[in-house]
Amino acid sequence: MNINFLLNGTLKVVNICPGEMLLDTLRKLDILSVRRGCDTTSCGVCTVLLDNKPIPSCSFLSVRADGHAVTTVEGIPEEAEKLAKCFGEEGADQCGFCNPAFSLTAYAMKQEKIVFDEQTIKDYLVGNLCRCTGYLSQEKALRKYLGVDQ
Amino acid sequence: MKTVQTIQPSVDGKGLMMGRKGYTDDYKEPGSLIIKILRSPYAHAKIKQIDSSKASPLPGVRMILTAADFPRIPFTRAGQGYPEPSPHDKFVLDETLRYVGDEVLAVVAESEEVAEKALSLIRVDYEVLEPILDFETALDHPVLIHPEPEIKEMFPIGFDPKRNLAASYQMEVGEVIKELAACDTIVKSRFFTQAQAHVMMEPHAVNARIDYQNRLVIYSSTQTPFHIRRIISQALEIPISQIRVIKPRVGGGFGGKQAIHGEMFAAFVTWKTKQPSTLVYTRKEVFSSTYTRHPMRLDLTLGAMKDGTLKAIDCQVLSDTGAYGEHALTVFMVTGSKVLPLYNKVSAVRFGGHVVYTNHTPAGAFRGYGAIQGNFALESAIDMLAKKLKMDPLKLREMNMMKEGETSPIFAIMGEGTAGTAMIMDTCKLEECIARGKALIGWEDKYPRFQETKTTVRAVGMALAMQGSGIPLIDMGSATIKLNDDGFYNLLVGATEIGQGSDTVLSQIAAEVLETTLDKIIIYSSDTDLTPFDVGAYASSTTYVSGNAVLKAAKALKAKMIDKAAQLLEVESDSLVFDGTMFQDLKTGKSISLTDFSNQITYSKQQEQLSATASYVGHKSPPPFMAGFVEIEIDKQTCELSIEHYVSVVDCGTPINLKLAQGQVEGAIVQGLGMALTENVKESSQGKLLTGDLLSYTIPTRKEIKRLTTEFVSSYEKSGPYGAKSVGEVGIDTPPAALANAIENALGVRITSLPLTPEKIFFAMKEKRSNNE
Amino acid sequence: MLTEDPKSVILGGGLWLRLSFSEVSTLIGLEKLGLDRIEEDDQWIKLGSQVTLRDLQTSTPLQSLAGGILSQASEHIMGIGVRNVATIGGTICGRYGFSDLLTALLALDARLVFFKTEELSLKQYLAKKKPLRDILLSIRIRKTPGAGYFHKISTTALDFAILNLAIARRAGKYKIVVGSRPGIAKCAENAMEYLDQIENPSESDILKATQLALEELTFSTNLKATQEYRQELARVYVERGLKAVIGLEY
Repeated sequence: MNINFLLNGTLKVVNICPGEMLLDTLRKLDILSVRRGCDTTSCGVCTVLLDNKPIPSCSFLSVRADGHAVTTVEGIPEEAEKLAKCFGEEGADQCGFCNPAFSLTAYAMKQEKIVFDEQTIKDYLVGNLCRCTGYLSQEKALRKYLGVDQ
Repeated sequence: MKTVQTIQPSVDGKGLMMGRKGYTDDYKEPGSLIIKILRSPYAHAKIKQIDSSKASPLPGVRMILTAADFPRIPFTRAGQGYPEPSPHDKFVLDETLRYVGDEVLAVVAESEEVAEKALSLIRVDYEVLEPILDFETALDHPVLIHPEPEIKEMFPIGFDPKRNLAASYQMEVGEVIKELAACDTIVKSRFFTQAQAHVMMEPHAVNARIDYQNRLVIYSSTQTPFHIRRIISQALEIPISQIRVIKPRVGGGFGGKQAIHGEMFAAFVTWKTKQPSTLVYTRKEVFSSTYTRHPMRLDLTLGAMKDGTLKAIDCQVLSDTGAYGEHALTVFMVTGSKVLPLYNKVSAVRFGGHVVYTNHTPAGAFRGYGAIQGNFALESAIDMLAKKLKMDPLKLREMNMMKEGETSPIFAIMGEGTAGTAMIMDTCKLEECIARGKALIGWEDKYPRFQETKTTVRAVGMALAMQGSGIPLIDMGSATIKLNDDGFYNLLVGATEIGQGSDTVLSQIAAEVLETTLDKIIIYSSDTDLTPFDVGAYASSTTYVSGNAVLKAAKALKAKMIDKAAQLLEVESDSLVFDGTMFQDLKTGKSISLTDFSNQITYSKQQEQLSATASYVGHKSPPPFMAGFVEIEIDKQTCELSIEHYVSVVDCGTPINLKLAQGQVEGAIVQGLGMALTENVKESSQGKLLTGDLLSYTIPTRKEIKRLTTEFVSSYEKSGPYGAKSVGEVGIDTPPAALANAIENALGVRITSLPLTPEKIFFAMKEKRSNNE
Repeated sequence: MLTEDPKSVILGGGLWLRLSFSEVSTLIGLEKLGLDRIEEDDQWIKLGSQVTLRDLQTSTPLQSLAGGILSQASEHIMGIGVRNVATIGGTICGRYGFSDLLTALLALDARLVFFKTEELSLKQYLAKKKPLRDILLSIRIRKTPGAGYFHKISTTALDFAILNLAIARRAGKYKIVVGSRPGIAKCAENAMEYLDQIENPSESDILKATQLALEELTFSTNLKATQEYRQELARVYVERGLKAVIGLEY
C-alpha cells in the first residue's frame, strides 16, 4: 500500500507493508538518525516528531503517518547544532546513539508553552533513557539550549 | 597552547547530534543477507533432531546453519589478548544447549520477513536435560555442563570441567586464621550480587561483505576489533590476513561489547556465500544471549583490634560464569586484587574461591569487572565493623586505608591470569577524597541520620573504591601520527572509542605535544587494516595505555619535524624550536611556518611523508581512587527510597578532559545505582530470564537522579600522560556499599544482597521488629 | 467488520500491538471519527476515546477535577512519546492489570459510551469476563467537586506500578480504588460504604476503613512484589490517601 507524508518538509509517497512500523520505513528512506534501541517503547531512541509531537517510531504503524508531517533530526539541523554546542560545553555527549532522539524531544519541548523547570524537563524527557551520562549534564546543557540556565 | 586540562567539546558530538551516519547498522550493504538465530528454549538440552524441511524450500531462504556446518574448534568469545585467560569452551554451534537463549541454529535469508517465517517453520526435537540454576550447588554437581573432550584452558587457571569449574584460585599473605584468632572483634558476613545487564543503548550489530580484493570486511559494534579479527580467524579457519575489522561509532559498550557475539555468523555467511550479510541483535537477545555481570556470593571476614586496627581480611568468593567461562578467572581475580589493597595495613589477607559453570546466560566483562562485587562486600563489612567498634566509619577507614607512597603485597601476587606486578602508589589521594566528600555531603551534620519525620528519615552513607589503569605488561596500545600538507595531522589509533570520549582525549594529548589546536588533529579509530594494534577499550586502559602511546608517537613526530625543518633551513636541530605554528632557529633567526614547511616537504623540497608510530605497555597499573557519599530519604513504613544526593570525589590523576572525566564518573555512578537499587534480575524456575526487556528490567531514569556532585582532587600521576590515570570504571564501584551503609544508618538494618529493594528492606525491618519483641 | 472477524482489532494508541497480538487480520483505525476531543458542559466532562494520555495530563479541566488524579495518573505513565500516542480508549479496552489510568477512572466513577451497547459504568465494564466486541466512543465523568489522591509505587519512573491507588471524596461520597494488586483495579466497596455514612471521619474511622479495604481486596505475588509487601503498601497508602482527601495530617 502507498502512504503520503511530509518528511522534513518534503512530500514522500512510499510503498509500505500493512504492518510496517515507521522506524523501518524511515530507515529504508535512508533516515539513519532514527534507531532501534528496545522495541518496547521504553528507551526513546527511535523518537521522531509527528506533527511536532514526539512519538516512538518503533511501535507506530507507518500507515498512521499517512497525511501527517514527520520530522527527524535531519529536518532541524540548526536546532541540533545549537543543542550540540550546549552538550559539548557540558560534556553531555558520550556514545551519541540517543542524541538525535534527545534533540528532537528537546526541540518539541522548546516549542511548547510550558515552564521549563526541573520537573517539567524531567517529565518531558523521562522517556529518553541514557546509560552513559547519568542525565544531569544533559539537563544542564538542555537548560542552556532552552535559555533557562541559572 | 593548552589543550589538555581545559574544557574541550568532544570531537564528534556535533555530527552525532545531527544524526550523521556512523553506527554499524548504518553501514550494512543494500541487499545484505539477513541472519537470524534460533535460540534454545531450554536451560539445558541436547538437540536430537532438526527438521527444516518446511523452512528450506521457502523462497528466499539461503542457508540453515547447524553445528555440522562449522569446524569443531573450541574457542572463547571473551575478546581478550592471546593466549586468553578464559577457557576455550565454546563452539560456534553445538549439539548441546547450555542456557535459555543459547544458539541452536542460524537462518540466512534474503529478507527479515522470510528469515522470521523460516524460524517459525523449523521444528527442533530436544532432549531436555536437568539444568543447574542454583550456582551454589554447581560445584561437583552430578550434572556436567561441559563434558565435551575438546575444550581446554590455554594455561593453568584452575579449570576443571569435570567439577563444573571454569576457574579457581587461592592466595594468602600472612596467616589469616592465626591473625583472626588474636583479634578483639570479628565481622563475618555473606553477600550476594546479581547478574546486572549492561543496557548500552545500541544493541550488538555486525555486518560483512567481500571487498574487491576478495577479503572479508566486517563492520562491528565492538570494543576489541583486533581480538575479533584473531578469534574469527582461529575459530573459522580463515587466514587472518584476509580479514579486516572496522569499528565504526559504537553506541555504548560498558564491557558488553568486549566479547565476540554475532560476528562469527556474519563472517562465516559472507565468507561462504561471498555475499554481504547482517545480524542485529534484538533487545531481547542482548538481554538473554549476550553477557551479564558475574553474580557472586562473597564470604567476607574482617578481624580488628579494639582501637580499630584492621588485622586480617578473608574473602572467599563463589562466582557464577553461566554457560561459558568468558572472563571467569579474571573478573574473579579483580574482586580481590582491585578491592583488598584498599586496606593495605593488615597483617594477613586471604582470597580465593571458585568460578562455576551453570545454565545461566554467560557472564562476561562489565564495567567494574569484579571490583564492584568485592567492593560491596568489603565496604559493607567495614561499616559493620565500625558499628561493632562504635567508631565513626570514616575514622576507621582513615586509620587503615592505603596512602600515598605505600603498597600492598597483593599487587605483586594477583594478576589477571598471571602473577601481578608490584607497584608503589605514587598517587593516592584517598585522604583528600574523604575530606572533600565529607564536606560536600555535610557528613558532620547528617551522620548517621537526620530530619526524621513521622514517616520518613534521611541518612548518609559512604564507601571507598579503587580500580586499575590497564593490565600491566599485557595491555598494549599504539598510535600513528602523520603530518599532512597545510600543517594538520592524522592520528590513527587502534584504541576503540565507544562513547567514552577516547577519540577526544587522545586527540587532546596529541594536540598538546604538537602545540596545536584540536581541529588540526584528525583522529581515526579503529580499523585493523589502517590503525596500529591496540587491545581495545577495556580494563580502564585507554587514557593511560593508549594515551601514553599517543604521547610517545606525538613526541617522536615532533622530533622528526624539528630535524627535517633544520635540514630545510640548513641549521642545527639543537637550536631550532617549534611552537606549534613556527619553526625558529635561536642562533640564526631563520624561521619557517608549519604551513610552508609541510607544503614544501609534501610538494617541492626534500619531499618526505613525516610520521611516527609508537606503542606503550604499562609497567604498572596506577589505581584511580575515589570516595562516594550518598544521602538518601527512606519511607519508614514502605521502605521506598530516594537518592537525594550522590557526591563523588575522585583521584584519577589529572584529568585530560575535565567534562568528559566527569561524564565517565557520573554515568558510572548512575549505572552503579542501578545495580544497587533498581536492576532486579528474575528468572523462571526453568531458567528463563523474566526480565529480558526494558519494560521489566528497570535501569535508572532521569527522575531518580536528582543531584550528583563530582569533583576531582588535585593529583598528578607521573607515569600517566599529562598526569592522568584511568577514570572509566572506578565510578561504578561505590554505590552498592554506600547505599547499603546509608540504609543501615537510616533504619538499623543491614541488607547483604543486591539489589537493595524497598521490599527487602521492608522484610528486614519486619524481622528486626520481631527479634526485638 | 469488528463483529464479523474475530481477528480484527480496533486500534487505540496501537503501541503495544506487537506485544499484545500475534496475528491480526484487520486493524480498524478510529482517527477520522473526531473522538480526540475533551469537551465539558455544566455537569460532565466528556473524553473521546482517542484522547491521548498527554491530553489527559495537560487538560485544565482534568487537572482541577478531584485533585487532578486523572492527570496525575497519566503523567506517571512511561515517556512523553508514549503518552502522545497511547489513548484512553486503548487503555480501557486493554484492561491491563497494572493500569494506572483505570484506577483513577474508577475513582472518578467514569461511564463508558459505546457504539452499540448501552452506556456502562467502568466498574460494570471491568466486571465483564470478556471484552465487548464494540467500539468505545467516549468516557463521561461527572464534574462533582471534591478532593482526590493518586499514588503509584514503582521501581523507576518508567516502570509499571507495583501498586497504584486513587481515592476520591466528592459530595461526601468516597471512592477507594487499588490497582496492580497485580490484579486489575478494584474498589474497596465496604470501606467506601463505611466512610460514606460518617460526616467527619476521625483518625480511627480512617484506620477502620483501611482495615476494611485490606480485608476485601485481594493481593498476590508476581515479578514485581510479594503479596505481603503489596498488602502493606496498600495499608500505608490507603490510610495516607484518606487522610489527604479528608484533610488530616499524616
